[in-house]
Amino acid sequence: MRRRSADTGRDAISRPAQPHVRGAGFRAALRRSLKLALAVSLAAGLTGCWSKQELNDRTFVSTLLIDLNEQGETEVSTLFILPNRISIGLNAAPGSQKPYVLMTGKGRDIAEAFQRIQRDLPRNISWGQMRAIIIGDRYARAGLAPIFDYLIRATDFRLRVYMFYYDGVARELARLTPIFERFPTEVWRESAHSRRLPPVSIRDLLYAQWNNLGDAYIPELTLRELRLLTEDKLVEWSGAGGAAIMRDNKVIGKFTEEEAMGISFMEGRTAEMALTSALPEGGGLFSVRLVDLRPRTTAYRRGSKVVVRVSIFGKADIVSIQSNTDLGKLAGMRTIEQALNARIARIGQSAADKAEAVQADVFQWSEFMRYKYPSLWRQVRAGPRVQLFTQMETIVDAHVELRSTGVGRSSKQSQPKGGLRQ
Amino acid sequence: MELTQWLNDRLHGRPDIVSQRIDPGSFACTIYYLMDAVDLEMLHAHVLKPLLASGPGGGGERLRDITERHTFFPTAYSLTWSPEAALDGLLNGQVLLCMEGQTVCVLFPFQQQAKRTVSVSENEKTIRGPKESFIEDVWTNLSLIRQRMKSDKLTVEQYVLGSESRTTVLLLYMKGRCEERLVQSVRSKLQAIRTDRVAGSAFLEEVLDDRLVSPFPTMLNTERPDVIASSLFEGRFALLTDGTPSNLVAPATLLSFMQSAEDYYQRYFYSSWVRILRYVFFGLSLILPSAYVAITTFHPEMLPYNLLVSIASSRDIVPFPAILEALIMEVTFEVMREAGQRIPTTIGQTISIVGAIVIGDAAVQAGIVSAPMVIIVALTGISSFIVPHFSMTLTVRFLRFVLLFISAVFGLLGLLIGVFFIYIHLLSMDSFGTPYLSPFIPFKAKEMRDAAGRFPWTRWLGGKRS
Repeated sequence: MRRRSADTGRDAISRPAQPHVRGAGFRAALRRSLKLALAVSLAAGLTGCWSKQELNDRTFVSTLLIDLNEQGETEVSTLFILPNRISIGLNAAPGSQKPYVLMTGKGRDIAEAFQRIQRDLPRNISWGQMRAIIIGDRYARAGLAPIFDYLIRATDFRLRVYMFYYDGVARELARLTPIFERFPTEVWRESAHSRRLPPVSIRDLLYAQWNNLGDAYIPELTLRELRLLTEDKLVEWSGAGGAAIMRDNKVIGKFTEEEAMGISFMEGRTAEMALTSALPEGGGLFSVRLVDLRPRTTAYRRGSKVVVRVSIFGKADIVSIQSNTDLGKLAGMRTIEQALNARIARIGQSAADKAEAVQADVFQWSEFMRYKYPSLWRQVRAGPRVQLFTQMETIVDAHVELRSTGVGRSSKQSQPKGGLRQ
Repeated sequence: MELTQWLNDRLHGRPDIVSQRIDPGSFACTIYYLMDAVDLEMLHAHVLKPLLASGPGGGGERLRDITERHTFFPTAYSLTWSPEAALDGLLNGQVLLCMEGQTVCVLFPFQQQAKRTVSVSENEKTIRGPKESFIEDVWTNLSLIRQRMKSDKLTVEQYVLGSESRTTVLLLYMKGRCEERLVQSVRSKLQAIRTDRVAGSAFLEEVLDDRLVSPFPTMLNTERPDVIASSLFEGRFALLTDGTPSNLVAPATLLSFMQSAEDYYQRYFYSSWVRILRYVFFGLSLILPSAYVAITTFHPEMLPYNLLVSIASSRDIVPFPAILEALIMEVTFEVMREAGQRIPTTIGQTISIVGAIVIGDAAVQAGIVSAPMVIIVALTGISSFIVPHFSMTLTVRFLRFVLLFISAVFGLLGLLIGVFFIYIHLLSMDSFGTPYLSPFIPFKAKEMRDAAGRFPWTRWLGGKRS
């Protein structure tokens, strides 16, 4: 150990005590930070607080409902969330008032109708939380181009907003009684989100429009009155319907509910679901749970035609069966599997046929022709729309594998002791 | 002038200095010492007894025994010919022996200072690790470190700083492991210090810091001897300051502030997991309130629908803008924390619980602040304490306010810019030549075994299990 007290100590005493002086580095740093502060304060004038809005000054649109009235005016209805009517927390009792409100504005176009709504509101409208757009039948048939045009320009919408069609005045849907959810929007959003309806977002529709043909399908919502034993009043119930067929940005027809299911199969948008079907030749009914359905779409050329082949793969388990088919034998399982695949293919094919019948390329299959056979596409594109459908053929087949009989418990094994076995 | 005369003039008859004249016959001498700072038994047995004993030889012979042959007193002592050094020694607690007619005087190291015993570390607790912590006495602290490293490579250099306070500072490093260039730079900085007093290790920390503009500390302070010992093994140096139980280690990178002593005493799985948690919550405690304010006032569309409904409904009756609400809560929290340190421990907990529950709950009930804000502030407050070293906690607490202001003015863009400024600042920083973000940036694969996580010891030390 070295002891240094002698020399350092002497130095300290002999010289007068003075504070530790900082060098030029400190001053440079100070100057630099002052410059920085100046730059930041100048930038503050360019952006910032002006665009700031407290939550209390905003109101949030959850759903947009668009109609056309008989006079040809656009009627825009917006469902607003009312935070002041929501009670939150452990002791929150459901309030007697609804936590949302529907406002309607009329105008020559959508923007004008919006402005009419905004003018009367004490708060600024925020569009960022909008979850669904519902189009009424009259507006949809008149043509959706104006709304697409608006959506392209209005950047405060999300592209994930789900789009629905209602066969009637869309505004009427707001009458629904949300029994399971707090807001009607949640009911609609969940129907697409959980894939009970094939989910279509505004991005899909904008893509369809960009794709020149402007053909697509829009899932349909329904409204019906229900008498529920547990509810005092008649309940307005909104559920899933089929889907609207959009051709050249106009709705021209509808897919039935079963055809809408076919769309889900072919577009790979099926949630886990049960499907009931009949065995051929009066063999009885069976139901299966469909798991992991995946379509594979390919196209190939056969002469002057392009064949679009949609193969649906997946797995299935039997959930119930009323038939004499022996499930213990492979042949029995095969029979069921074949019947199931025939049914799935039929459902898919019916949707494809319906689209073909109305000459709407709702699945964007024309892209196969466009990118795979461009010369053919150029010919087709030059001709009338019908040419596309005469030169395109759709085949839907299914290869769903029946995994198991679904029997998880044997009735013999589950006999309690002292039961029938004795 | 006679030395005794000079001493008496300087001391002005200070009441705590004992002077005792002894004249055993052969030569007269005077003993000076500080009252209650000297081991009187040692003084009696090793100094007074030999002096008063009638031994062989005359006065001259005895003097030569003392000054030349060093055989007279049966204890270690030093000689000085400088009156100032003699006075220094006396005020340091040594026993001073002045012999009449001689310019040389003798200093006996019989210091006996009031000091507390080594106790359990209070600020850096461990569950499995050692519990000892430093005390105020620098030599006790040194022995605590020496117990953990018996290597002869451990080098200790002593400095006495402060013209009036005469504070002992020990520079510790391991020869061969600590870079000589680093030691030399610290040495020259220590020698350049001109001051009349050293106010604890914080003074040294500031003096040795080249750039005072940074809120980030560049020296780690710890009260654990094991932390200093392992830092020395890792090639760092340590500064022990007399009178301070919290001693300094450098170079200290961001990583070293995120490491807790407990990490090394628990299984590596757990330690690694906790370290990752620490990084996550370090970031969270820095930006959470700012992000909340920025998102709710500028970008509410970023919130999930149901979360927005909850936040909007609880914010609906709050009369203040979000930034003011955040400031009220954050400042209140800081004040409660600061006050909590002053409140005696016995009632401290009660007060803090009352403060937290009553102020938080009552404010929400009264609609002055919203419940999400209370949650945010509480989460932020708690997560700032996951950082094991208090000096870094202070930094985070300060920077949080800066970011809060920026995000209230510029939104998320401002928050991002603020975070980037901090990041760039950290990139430009170094602690005694070591980049502050190392071993992440610049990436040093070898040091990563003890960085974001901790590798098992067997892999780390290169030793195989036998």
